[in-house]
Amino acid sequence: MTAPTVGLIGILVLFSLIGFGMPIGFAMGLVGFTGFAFLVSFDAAIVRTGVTTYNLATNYAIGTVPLFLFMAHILFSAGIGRDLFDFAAKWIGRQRGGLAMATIGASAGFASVNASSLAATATMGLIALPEMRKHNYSLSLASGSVVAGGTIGSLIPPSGMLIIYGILTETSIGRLFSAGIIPGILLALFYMIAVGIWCRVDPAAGPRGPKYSWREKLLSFTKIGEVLALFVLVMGGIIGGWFTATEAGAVGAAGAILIALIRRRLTLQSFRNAIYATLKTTGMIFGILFGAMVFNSFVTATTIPMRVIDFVATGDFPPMVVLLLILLIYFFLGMILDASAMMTLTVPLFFPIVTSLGFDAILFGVLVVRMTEIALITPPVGMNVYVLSGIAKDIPMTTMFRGAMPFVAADVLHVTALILFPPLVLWLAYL
Amino acid sequence: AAEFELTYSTTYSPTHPYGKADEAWIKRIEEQTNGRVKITAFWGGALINSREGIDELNAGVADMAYIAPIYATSGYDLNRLTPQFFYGYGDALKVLEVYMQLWKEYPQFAEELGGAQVLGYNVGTPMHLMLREKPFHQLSDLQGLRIRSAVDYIGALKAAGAEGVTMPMTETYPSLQRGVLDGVIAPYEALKSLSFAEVIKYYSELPHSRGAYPSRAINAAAWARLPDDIKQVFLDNIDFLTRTTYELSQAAEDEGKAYGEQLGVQFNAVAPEVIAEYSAAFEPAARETARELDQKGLPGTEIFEKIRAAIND
Amino acid sequence: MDFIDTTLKRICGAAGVIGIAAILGLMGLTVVTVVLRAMRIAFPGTYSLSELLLIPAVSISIAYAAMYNEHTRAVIFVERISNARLRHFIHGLMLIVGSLFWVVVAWATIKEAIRRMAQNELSPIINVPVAPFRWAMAAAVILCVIVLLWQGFKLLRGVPVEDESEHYAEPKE
Ligand code: NA
Ligand code: NA
Repeated sequence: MTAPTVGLIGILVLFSLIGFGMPIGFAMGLVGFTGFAFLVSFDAAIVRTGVTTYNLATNYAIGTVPLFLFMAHILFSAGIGRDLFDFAAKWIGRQRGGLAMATIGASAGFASVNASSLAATATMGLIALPEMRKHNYSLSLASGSVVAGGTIGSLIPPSGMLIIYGILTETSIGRLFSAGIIPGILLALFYMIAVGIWCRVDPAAGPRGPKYSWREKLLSFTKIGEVLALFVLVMGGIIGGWFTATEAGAVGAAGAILIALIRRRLTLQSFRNAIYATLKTTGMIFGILFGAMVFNSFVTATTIPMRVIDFVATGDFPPMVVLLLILLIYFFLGMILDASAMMTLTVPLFFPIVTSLGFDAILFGVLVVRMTEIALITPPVGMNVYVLSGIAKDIPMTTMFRGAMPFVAADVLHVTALILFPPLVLWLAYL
Repeated sequence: AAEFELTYSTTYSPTHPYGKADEAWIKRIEEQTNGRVKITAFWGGALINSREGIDELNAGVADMAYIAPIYATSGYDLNRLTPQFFYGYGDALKVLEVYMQLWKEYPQFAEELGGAQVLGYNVGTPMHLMLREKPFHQLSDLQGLRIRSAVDYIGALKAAGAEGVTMPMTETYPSLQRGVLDGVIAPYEALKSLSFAEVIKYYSELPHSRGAYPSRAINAAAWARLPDDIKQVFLDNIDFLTRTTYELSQAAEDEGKAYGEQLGVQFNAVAPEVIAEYSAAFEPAARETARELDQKGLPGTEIFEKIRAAIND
Repeated sequence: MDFIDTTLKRICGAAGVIGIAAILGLMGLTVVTVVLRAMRIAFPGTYSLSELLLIPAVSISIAYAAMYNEHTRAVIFVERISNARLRHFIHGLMLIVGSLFWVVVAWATIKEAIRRMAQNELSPIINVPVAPFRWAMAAAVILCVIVLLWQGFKLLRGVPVEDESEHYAEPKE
């Protein structure tokens, strides 16, 4: 049996196990380990599993996730998140799908202080999702806007994915950061338009909220003081060079506790709830990540990604076809691999091909990062959906994936726009 | 299909000098074995990590790998710890020459690697001091600065009143950009490859030697499978891989420096007496390390003395 | 059966406190570092210490999440099975088979802990022995395995596990 065949069988087994209700991370880990042991050796699989899981458990950059989760749980427990969405409901709740648009906007804002898509998804899942449900939004629109919103973060600096691309390809990180800004904002707009269209087609998906007077609207400003204070603290701290985006999780969590205490909105009980919920959510996310790391090694060993790359590299296609093929490959690889694995596995091989065909390294970087983020919301392996699924257990995963589809469509248009009008990416980068 | 299919894994990508050297070496091995050997490379750390590289190699995760014993957190004591004895060295080729002599003299280096056969060596070009605010001329200039650094340099920085920070490389750029850090210890090449030229203004040539280390190896099982004539091709190419890695690294250094100049980075040399003063701060920690090696029955102090004597040649 | 349930809950509760302490410690450590940095007081070793604290934070949280059935599953197909007994049986079987992955992780962790302990692995800069943290990770993963096996066993016998109702709630849309 060839390695790719083993790979395909492994993927089939994975889907069966997931279909029978095995926890997703366990299924990925089990198939990943068994497949790797079969392809390489049992000893190698044990060592590889030990190394990848230990490195994950000591990874400083991913280690920020529990602290961002803690911040989100505090904001949720203290009712501060609810205030933010009360504010949004008063100002744009009248608009169909207004709260989903607000979710997208808040995700973009959160992206400017945070580099983790999973943390962004969990935060909005805790804060925005309950509010949309309360306002009778359809579960698919509500969850779709949360998981899609979580993918905006990697375009808007700080962005770990852009840094990794920059290091892998020796491309200017400063230019990549600048290059991500316009596409990031544009993406948020595309997502909001997608929400608008969705609600036009299906008005029940994001029903109009009640009308508020200007007085009520203006008064609602008094309710968002806490969120604004926290945002200013974290954002200001990063820009001012007081702490890094990774440290922002800890500062944000401590800041949230402090603000909630000052405003007397945190009881001992709600604090307890928040910290225990953090422990559970952390376990849920890392349970998936542990499995995903082991599964990634298996996919690498199947040589499937390499063979696909070879096909593109050795075929005699016109440049634009090559670029589109590569994006298509990312789309399909993204169905089974997580973002960072896609990046390290493929970029070193695609980069020389793409640049030798005359495409700009910065443009390709933004496109690749975008593709790795789309992967977070496409089935069957979609990390953002898995994370939200752990937070909102009663919403079926299929509903979430279905809810993400219109946003994936928006993504396809967004990527197309970037390819057709490269200045959207390159103008700021080469300013 | 080829007779011998081998996998090779590295944490670098083909655009990096080490990756470029690997590509040239793979091509050469395949040619010189008349296609009997086929090497499949995995880039970007997709298969093997840098911290546990030797462990994974020996377990057979890949047949061959880029290894860096200096990044291991334990084990491989001679290979891991002796590179720090090269403090104060400014000439990479000299380091390599001294190091290769030691490898010949002390079989313990090879014995530590769990049966893996070394296929190439790396010598690090010296790293220097990159700073945001002002250039470095004398030790007092370091007072109060926060500098991203490898663990080995933290003691010397501390002695000069600076704080060494072991922050991950991916965090370093934004930290320099925003001022969380005042500087970083890195080679010319990083001005370009890690984009540091965008976020620092001064490059002060205070050398931080990285020593040398075995950097490519094949595990015992894969080595045993190869017939003698093919083994010989690999052995004959150790020098090629070592030299190519160095030459491409040096080219990347020059490129990085040119890129820095283009972006307006100001370079300055550091007076020899300041370098000597700074280097002296490394001695106590290095001697301590040497003693610890002695206690484990390894020739720590012996090697230390030889390396220190050679710098004065 | 109740005895095992209560005992496991108690152990997970105690482990949970350690996990929480690690998360709070991580937060405190980072905040203190940031504050000291603003006062230009050097505090090296933060990164080393953070990495160590992450180990219990992450590994205990995984066991804790298992205790409360928080690990994400796709229930789209199994929830269509109307026979509750069969549904529980499949769920239990999946937990038991899935726990094999954690057996592997525990095995790998223990193997590495033994080897590294012999090498006297120290955390850089702070020079703290790493072995206890590797053992803590192994212990947490073993706890996770025990919890999963116990829950699987209960499900095989038709006893629902914690939060079961949430999993099978009919969504309104
Ligand atoms: Na971001
Ligand atoms: Na996906």
